[in-house]
Amino acid sequence: MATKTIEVRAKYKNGITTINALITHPMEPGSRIKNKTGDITSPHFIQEVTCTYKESTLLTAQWGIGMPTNPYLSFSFNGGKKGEEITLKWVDNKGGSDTTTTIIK
Amino acid sequence: MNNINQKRRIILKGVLATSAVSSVIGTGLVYTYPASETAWPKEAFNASSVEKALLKLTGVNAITPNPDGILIKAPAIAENGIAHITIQSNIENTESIAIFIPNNALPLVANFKLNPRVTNTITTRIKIESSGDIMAVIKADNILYSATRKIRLTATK
Repeated sequence: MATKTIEVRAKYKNGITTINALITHPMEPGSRIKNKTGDITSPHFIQEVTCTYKESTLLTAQWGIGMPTNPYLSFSFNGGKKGEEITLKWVDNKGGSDTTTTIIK
Repeated sequence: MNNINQKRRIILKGVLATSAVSSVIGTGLVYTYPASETAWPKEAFNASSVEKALLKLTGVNAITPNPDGILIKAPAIAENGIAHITIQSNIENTESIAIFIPNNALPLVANFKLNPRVTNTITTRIKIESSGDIMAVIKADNILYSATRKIRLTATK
């Protein structure tokens, strides 16, 4: 994918690493009617978000059409270290996906 | 003449080798892709009630209300139909956190599976279609605990 869709920050403080992520995605529920054509939009939404740290999965988020446009997610975990890498990946129902890696600050 | 023949042999060998490698990579891609597709619990997201969705999602039927163990932070009024919510579980061995809006036609909004290292708190944004409850269901040691919080919708989208 040409444009970057994931904005993620990981911050370490007092033994806990907090991850904030904002994903740019239409999250189309498939129930809206297009004003111009009158057609019903086809659903297009993120199904799964995974966050990995040192080859172990920290969190798997399974989402439905109840999540809004440009979904936001935040959580923290015990441990982590400044300079280590966190990887975030999403997959949507049309097979689209994006992955990004960030460094804990 | 002999020299040309030798060159031709080398080229032929090279072509055979690359085609073998590419076929291995090709099958690898086809094999891994459906795995991530099936991991998404389609039946749970298509379920019309909270109980049905939970049964499909976790395999557990009974829900124990536990309003003290689960903290839902949410605004009293959802502006423009979107609420910024935080769910905190004080239950030990929390494995997953599911968010429901029982009033929705498809109540399951999201399910978060947690690694034991993750502090049992999730912050996210959800869509609110009508005034009603937000429900959080925590799975810990194969038991489901739930808590609800009321939210009001003012602005219509």
